Amino acid sequence: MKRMATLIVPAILLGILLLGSGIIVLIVGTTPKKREIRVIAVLKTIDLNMEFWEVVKSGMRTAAKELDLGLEIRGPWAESDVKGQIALMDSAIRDQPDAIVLASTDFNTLVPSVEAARQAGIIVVTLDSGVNSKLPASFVATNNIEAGEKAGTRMLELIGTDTPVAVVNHIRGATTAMEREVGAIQAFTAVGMGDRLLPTRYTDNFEVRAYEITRELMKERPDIEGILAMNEVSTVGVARALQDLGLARKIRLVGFDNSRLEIKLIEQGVIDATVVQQPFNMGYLSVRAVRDALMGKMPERFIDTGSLLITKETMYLPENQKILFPFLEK
Amino acid sequence: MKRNDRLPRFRSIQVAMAFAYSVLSVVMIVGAVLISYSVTEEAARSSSRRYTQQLVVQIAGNIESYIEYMDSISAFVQSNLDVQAFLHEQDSEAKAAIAQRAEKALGAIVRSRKDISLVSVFGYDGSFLAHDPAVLKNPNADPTRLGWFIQARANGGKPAISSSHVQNVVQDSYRWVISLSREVIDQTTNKGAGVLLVDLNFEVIDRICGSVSLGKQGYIFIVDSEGNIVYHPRQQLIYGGLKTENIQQIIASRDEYLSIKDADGDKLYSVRTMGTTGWKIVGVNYEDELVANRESIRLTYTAWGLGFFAITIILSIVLAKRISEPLMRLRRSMQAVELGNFDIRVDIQSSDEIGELGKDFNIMIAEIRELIRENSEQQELKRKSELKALQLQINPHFLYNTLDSVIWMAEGGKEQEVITMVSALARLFRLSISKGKEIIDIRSEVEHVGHYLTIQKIRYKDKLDYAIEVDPDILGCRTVKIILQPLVENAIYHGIKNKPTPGKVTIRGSRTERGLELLVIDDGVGMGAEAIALALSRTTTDTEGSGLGVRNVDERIKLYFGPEYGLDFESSPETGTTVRVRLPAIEGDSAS
Repeated sequence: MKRMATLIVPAILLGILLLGSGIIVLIVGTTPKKREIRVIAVLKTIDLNMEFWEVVKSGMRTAAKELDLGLEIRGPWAESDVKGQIALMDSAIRDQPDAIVLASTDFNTLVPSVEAARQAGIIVVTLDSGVNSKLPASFVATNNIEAGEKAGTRMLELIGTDTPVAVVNHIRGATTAMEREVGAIQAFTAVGMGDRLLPTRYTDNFEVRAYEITRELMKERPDIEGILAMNEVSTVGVARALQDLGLARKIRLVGFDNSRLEIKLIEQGVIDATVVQQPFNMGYLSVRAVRDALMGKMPERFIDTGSLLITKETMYLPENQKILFPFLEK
Repeated sequence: MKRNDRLPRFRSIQVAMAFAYSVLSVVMIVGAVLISYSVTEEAARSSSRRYTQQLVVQIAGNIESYIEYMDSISAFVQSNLDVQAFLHEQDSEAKAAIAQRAEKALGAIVRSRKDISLVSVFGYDGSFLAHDPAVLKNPNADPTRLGWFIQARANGGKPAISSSHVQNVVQDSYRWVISLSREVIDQTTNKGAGVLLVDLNFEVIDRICGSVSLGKQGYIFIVDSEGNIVYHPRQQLIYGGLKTENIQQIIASRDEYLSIKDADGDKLYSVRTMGTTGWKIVGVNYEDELVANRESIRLTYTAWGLGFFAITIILSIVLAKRISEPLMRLRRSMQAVELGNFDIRVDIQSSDEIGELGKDFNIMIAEIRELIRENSEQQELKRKSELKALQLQINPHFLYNTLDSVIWMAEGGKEQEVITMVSALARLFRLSISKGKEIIDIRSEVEHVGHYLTIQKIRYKDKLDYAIEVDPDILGCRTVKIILQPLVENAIYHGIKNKPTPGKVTIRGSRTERGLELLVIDDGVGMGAEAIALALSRTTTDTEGSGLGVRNVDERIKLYFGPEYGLDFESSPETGTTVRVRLPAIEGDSAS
């Protein structure tokens, strides 16, 4: 009896203590600290000179800060270093993040890495260039068919009805190359001018090749009135060739991307229009897709980050300046 | 048992008090912590609001000073004589010469300032002048079609400030700038002669606004009076339609604070409109971030609360214990007193009420003890004097019988026997008096009983025989007087007198382990247990007794020497009765 009483007293006091603490904790309410969500981005390159990827990174960082995620960006030095990227994927999986954002350097070779990541319970979101797998939660990229269509449509506005148009593309079989071409063809066939497009020439992503191809084309088909160049390297190479041939402003050129050189060529009128992607949005939306997937809110399988057609007239509009000139020059 | 089970906690004051204190203080601490928490949080909220407001004002001031600086450059350029001359001059050769001097003047302004990216003059005649001869006009850009140029002409000599934009008027340079443009008035013709342009590197503003931290998500942005974004950290997202900013509401409002709820959550906008440009500098706080260190405030308060609880509860227990402990001791002492222990003292050191109570209790107990002692002393004294009185009584029967015997003997001419008897009687009485002393030596006691036996021997003749065999070395020891005579008397009247054959009384005395032992042995009829009890209960003598009962003997021994001493009876009808007198061995002075 006595022993029971001696036990009951501290028990009651402890109860009061806990009750009081409970009330304080309940109302003052220290919310349990959220575990930091870790995201590793494995990009195509971390070369600081690649403006496109720098803008992607800045979009990713903006989103990471806004959504309060831990973001680490990795990548090989060169876009062509597929093995390097696979090794980086392996080490990223070993680090066990919650999610990986992958800008794949190859459509097929990176598939095992993506499978391994999923096996480890890591959410994968692909960015800019996808992989041949259904495993990624989402693919965040420019809708290249639509972009190609924009370029084709613009070209149609620039040329006459019965003139041939050449297509200079970068790599045979590359997704972006194929899709952009498909888009352009769609635009032409939609108005019944599908036969106006000449067979596509490939530059293998060398400016010199684009230059040479242009000269050959001009020699072979002097009646060409327009050239569609499907990426930056092609666009610049074609533009240079046209300048050297004295055909600038005579042959219509619709290109892709917005390097400083291209901007100047647009100002000069050598390039009539360029279709630009929105890398900032791409980076931002990829991180947001990761957050959505982690919160169990499945993002769309394909998130289109949009593309814009820029001409000399529209390039300095306030809404376009930030896209064409994403960084401050010191 | 059942009651105890049910309510054990209120059984002691200690528990009740500890419980009450704890409940009270927990309630108070909870209240205090919650009130101060909400006060602190409100203070933190308003201070961070104030901080944002100050920040916005400070940024506005900063940008203002840049604009003023650009304005002062423009004023300088406008009034510069070389520039004036350059614009006025029509002749191209002379113009080229002046251009050099004017370029130097412009260069001097920019040289020390990295934040000014361009100072140039565009003559209406198509002439161009920049702060650096290396800066060339972009041949593909027509300045007259650019916003800042058009605005400057429209303003007629007053400065026009552009929003942030990419400056493409210079060849191979696409800088983000803020442009201040102004029509230069030819002072001779008083007509506009060209437009001067001062470009502030936008990096300056980007740095000022970008380095600001307003919580994790908060930010600063700037819009011009038309609602165009001058600076916004999420500009691309807004143009891309991925984010919205409540620009229209901010433009429309004249308040310094706006609280707007949108998809991103509750936001607090602190707005400052700049005087010169009409730009609005807007600080955006997320409501849930206003209390910057909410987590640490919460943690601190929780820790404080818990700490206080612990202290309070320990204090409650200690305090309750301190009050109840002396009470418990007092209670235990009282229980001891109830059981008859009056030698107890409560030791309570405190000087409070309970200490006083303890002291009073001690005093009370001491008084009770004194009273009891006095009472028992008085009782003892009373008893002793009673016994003394009894012992001094002379049994008239004994005296009458003795004297009767003397008469018969005298009549019978037994002169010798008369002498013996009377002298024995005389000595008997004399020893009985023994100078009024209560304690005498055994020698006197044995002598006394000897005289008694002498008298009885004469009276009973052959019917009584006796022997005294006392160890000589105990004769000097002390005893209460008149203890043997009543026992012998008892032996004769109850043992031998009723025996048809002659009987014998033997008195022995010796030292034992625990003291002395005197034995009165008779071989009479013996006493039953009832007779012993009767003998021991009798306080007064019967008709033939000497005046003192057996019980008195026992009582007196106990009174003087303690309860462990006294009488023992051993009796059987066959062997008679043995009375054992146990006494302490107190050696007397040999003189007495």
